[in-house]
Amino acid sequence: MKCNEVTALLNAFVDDELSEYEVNNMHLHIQHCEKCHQEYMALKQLSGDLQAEIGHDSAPQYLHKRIKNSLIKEDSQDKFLPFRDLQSSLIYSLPALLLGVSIGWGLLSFQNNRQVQNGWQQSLVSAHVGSLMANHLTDIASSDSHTVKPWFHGRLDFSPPVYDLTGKGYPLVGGRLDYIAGGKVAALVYRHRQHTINLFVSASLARPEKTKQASYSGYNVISWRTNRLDYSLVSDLNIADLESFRKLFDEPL
Amino acid sequence: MFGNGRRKQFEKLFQPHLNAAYNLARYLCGNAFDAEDIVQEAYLRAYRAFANYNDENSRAWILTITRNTCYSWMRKYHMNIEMSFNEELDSTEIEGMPACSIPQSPEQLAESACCQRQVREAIKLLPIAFREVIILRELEGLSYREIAAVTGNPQGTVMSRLSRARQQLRQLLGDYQS
Repeated sequence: MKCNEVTALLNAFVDDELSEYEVNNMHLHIQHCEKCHQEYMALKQLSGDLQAEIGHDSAPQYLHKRIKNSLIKEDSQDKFLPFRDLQSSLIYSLPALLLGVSIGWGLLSFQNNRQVQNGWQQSLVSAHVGSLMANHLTDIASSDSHTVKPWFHGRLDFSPPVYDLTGKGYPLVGGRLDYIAGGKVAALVYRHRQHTINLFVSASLARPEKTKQASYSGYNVISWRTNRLDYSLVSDLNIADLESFRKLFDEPL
Repeated sequence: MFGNGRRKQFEKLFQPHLNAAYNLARYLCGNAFDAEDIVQEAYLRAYRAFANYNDENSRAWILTITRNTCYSWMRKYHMNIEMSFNEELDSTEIEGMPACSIPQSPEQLAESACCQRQVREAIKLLPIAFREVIILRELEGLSYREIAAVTGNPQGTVMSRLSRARQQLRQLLGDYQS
């Protein structure tokens, strides 16, 4: 055996995953090759130390109890569903069905990603315009970020970051809860000179994407995505000022 | 009662693996609070699927369900999960930690608590796909075939991930240089 062949099998050797024939060949090589021998010893030592040091933590005693209770509860609910076979066959076909749906959805969203993105931004512009026209700019009017942020607790399943940017020329006006495309979106309202800016924040499962700028009916939109949250700024403010506002969110505040 | 007997049978088979499931969940999701909920959810899922269990390796079976529950839990609650795991990228560029040595004498024993912490911290720094093979192998002692079944990967992938995971741990722990 050559050194590179030995190296490739070294982990399997340490883990006792090789055939007798391979084990013999490994032994033969390691006996005569100082470099591979040392590599083997180092790996064996690491593996031994890991086994010794990781250590099992015991699950807390109340977890046993909790699990037992949830199984008992499951049994009592089961009595009302006598068709166990039908029920379980439904349960097992469900993942396949969901997989099929999600693959279909994935393909669809791949194709329509751009359109969806544009559609989403347009919905935000409508929400922005609506918030100005209907005189419903804020649900919670406050320039204090420590008043606005807690207001969202219990209303959303994520916590939108709320910053006071008065010192930078963007005073906080308040916050609002919007329903857009069937989902809850946090809207944070800022002002810059005479312009109203809506910052929409929603939970996102998608991967991070590049910042996107767009313009619809005279309103500028900048969208970006960080830490599993989608952000979009919407305003009639010019795009350069809006972009410098966006940059404030890149800095640790 | 029929249900009662079924539950007893389930508990007899899987209660012994509760610690294994709990440890796997804790290392994957990174904290004990979520791990408790995840394990409870996993056992409930396992119980519902119990009709489909046919005398396989009971530990590998419950660990598979625990692992999958863990991933869906982390997705659901937007926890940090490296979905776009890049094998090439994630196998390099890790900064070393201070060296730690395994105690050989009573004097060194006092330092072992610190050493255990370092080992655990180092494992937490691994990408999740590396972390899970290390836990399944070194903590649970599963074979490559069993790890392949639990993680849904080919055995070749298990072997290469394990190899790279150990390489990273050697860098992180700053010891074990040949």
